[in-house]
Amino acid sequence: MSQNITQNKTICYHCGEDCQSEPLWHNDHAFCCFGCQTVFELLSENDLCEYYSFEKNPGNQLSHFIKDKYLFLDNEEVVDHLLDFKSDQLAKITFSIPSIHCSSCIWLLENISRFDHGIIVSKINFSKKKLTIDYNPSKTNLRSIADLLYQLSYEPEISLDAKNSTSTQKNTTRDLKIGIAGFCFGNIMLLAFPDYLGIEIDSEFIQYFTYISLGLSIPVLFYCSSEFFISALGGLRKRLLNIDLPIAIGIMALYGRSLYEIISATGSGYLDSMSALVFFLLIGRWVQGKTYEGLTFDRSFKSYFPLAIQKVDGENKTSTLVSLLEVNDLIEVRNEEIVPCDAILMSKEALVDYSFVSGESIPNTMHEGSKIYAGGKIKGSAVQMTVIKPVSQSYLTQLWNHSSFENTDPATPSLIDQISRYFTPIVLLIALVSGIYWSVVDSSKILFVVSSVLIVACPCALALATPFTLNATMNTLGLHKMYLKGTHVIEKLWQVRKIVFDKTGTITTGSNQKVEWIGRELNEEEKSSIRSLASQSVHPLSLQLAKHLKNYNRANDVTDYKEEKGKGISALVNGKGIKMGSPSFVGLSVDTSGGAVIAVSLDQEVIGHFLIRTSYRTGLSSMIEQLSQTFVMAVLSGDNEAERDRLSSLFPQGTQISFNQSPENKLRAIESFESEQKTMMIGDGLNDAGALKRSFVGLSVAENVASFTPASDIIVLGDQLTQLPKFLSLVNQSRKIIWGGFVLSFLYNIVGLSLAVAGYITPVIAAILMPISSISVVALSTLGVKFVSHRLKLKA
Amino acid sequence: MKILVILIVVSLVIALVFLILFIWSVKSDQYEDTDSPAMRILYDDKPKSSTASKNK
Repeated sequence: MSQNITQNKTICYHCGEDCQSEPLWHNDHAFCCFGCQTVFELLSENDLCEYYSFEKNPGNQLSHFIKDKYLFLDNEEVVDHLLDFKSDQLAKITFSIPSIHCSSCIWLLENISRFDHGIIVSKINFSKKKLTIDYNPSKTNLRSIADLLYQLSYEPEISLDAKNSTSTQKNTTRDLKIGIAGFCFGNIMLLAFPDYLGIEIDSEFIQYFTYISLGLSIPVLFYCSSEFFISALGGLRKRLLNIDLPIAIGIMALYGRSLYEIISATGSGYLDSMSALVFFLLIGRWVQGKTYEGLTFDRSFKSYFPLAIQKVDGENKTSTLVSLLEVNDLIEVRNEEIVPCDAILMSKEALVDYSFVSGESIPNTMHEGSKIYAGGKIKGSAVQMTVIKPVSQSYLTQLWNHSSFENTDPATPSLIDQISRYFTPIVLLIALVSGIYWSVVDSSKILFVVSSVLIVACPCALALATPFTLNATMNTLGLHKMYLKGTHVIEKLWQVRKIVFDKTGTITTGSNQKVEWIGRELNEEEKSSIRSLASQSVHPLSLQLAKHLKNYNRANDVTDYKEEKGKGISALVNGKGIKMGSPSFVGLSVDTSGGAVIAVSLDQEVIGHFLIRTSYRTGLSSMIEQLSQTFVMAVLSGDNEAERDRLSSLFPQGTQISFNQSPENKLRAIESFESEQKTMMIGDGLNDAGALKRSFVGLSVAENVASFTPASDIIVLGDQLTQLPKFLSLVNQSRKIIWGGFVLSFLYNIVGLSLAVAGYITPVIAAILMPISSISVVALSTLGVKFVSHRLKLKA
Repeated sequence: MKILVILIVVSLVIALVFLILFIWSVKSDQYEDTDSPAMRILYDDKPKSSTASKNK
């Protein structure tokens, strides 16, 4: 059957993809598509072929090149909004480029000034996947820079939304605090060394040492540990006993006691313990605050819509900001562009792909006068339409402004704060009781014992168990391409009881659809003819079919080609008349509920049809089986009921499976689930955006990291989704590890407290007990996660 | 034992120098991106002028 399959795969020199049957050859290098070849030519013209020497096949494949994609950058208003800085001679812009992935990318993008001499400097931030460009606006303009990047297949992601990122400021302060606390901790400990070893030196020196320590501890108290005091006060104001309260009390007790001892020259104080405590706690906070900076979890619809659109005004076409569109404006939307607002179609016909908005897998053909909702993607030739609702009031935007989105997070108190609610009163009680006891026995020791209790009970180790365990878990999941928005998501995952799936793009794969031929057997020549005809059209179904038959020769003589929009195509291929398209177009009556049908007739005779069915992800059924043991499941699909039978056989009996769900329906459904039990929504498109946001945990599935994902808590790569049971099991185990850490730190506290109550805590014991307890809890957390992931056969 | 005073002063001064260097490095955003400098160092410096003249 398949003689034309090439024996050894040819790999594209530029992007590393399989070149399929017909590689393009240029300068002895194979290319999979014209796009890759163009990039290579562009690079070799500019003497930049070193690009290929750092990594093998470093390029990105550009799926479909859209001419004039950045036309809107001609609009001065847009440009001014995007620029970081502007003067006559210098402008600065920061692009977010998700496809940056290797060292070759850095090299090329930092050398782009060789293409365009108006560019002064370009600099990459690899971890944030951002490119900063300084250019001379009198020599070049933003649009040509964006076009250049796009041509090189580094497509910049431009949206007005993405501009506001202010998280950098906070990070540097934390780095500084950690550095200063570490410095003070180390030096104070050094000065305390004679004390630890019991070396007798002149008391005069000891006096100096303690004064220097006191000096060193000032920045620790007033700068490094300020956030604990602020947070503790904030908690008190809200009548909450958070974990920072006992920490703040502990720090104050340590400092007060040390100050008293040093000034009265009765001892050397506990300043080393105090700075160690602050140092470790800050590291814990830092670890907990780490996120995936290259990913965006909070995209709203604005970043999905185009910034500007072509407005037609008689003969003139001007690019206008989408937000400035008014009712009755005539706009033109081109191939692959997204309709920014609800509109009425003025052109005769349009092919609209709603897959991202509604979950329908097959594009619709719309006729003149029909209403097109915002979010649809136009396929094929450009069309004109009249705006009927401004962007802010269109269908999808309405969903986003839904009342249920306000105060979505009812701020579930974290585990550590729940424990702290009991911990703080207990510690205070112990301090009180031991104070009363010693006031009877030996009143001179009251202050000493009470402060000792407060010092030892400071929940340093307790506060470290959670961040380190959660961070280790998050890192392990990240290695498996499941990216969490932050460590708090793990705590939320513990409570999830119900999992809701979307269908299209989530449990089905977008790209690999199963094509089946039903009818009389086709010979080689016929298949080749069908492929040639299918390659003529840009209709997604034709593309699917052409891809399916890619191993057959397409070098046929196609004449008299006709395409009837929404119906089908016909032509003479090698002299034979072929008609392909909808059953009614060809004259075949067949049940179309099993999937999309392309009927085929040859010389007026109907010979059969192709059935294109969506295919489910491999390993889906075992994933569902494993998940059904712990979770209740449901399916919300925006598509029609064609797949009902297949779906219900996959899921356990009694699973609620709903079809034809609009984004609004999905949101409502999640709301009603949510009122019964905590729900995790798994979806991929804008049509799930409402549900993803409303659900307790929203997980969005992406085909690659660079692709668009709606706002969610978790992003998972599509091919990793079926590992979900393992991931969730690791998440659940992490809770046990944290409890283990708590038990350990409670043991330390019990030992320390009994020593303190009995009045035996000396600076040396405190100096030993504090770091050891912290370090052992950190070790337990990280090693515990490693052990569990090893047992689950996950790499860690 | 007087030497001890000098030693301690010297050690503190050295440590302070490092602390100041650290603060400077944080302030000048050297911890902003820890990945790309490691790769950037591997690139050869090509004389820019020669390539530019080839183009034009």
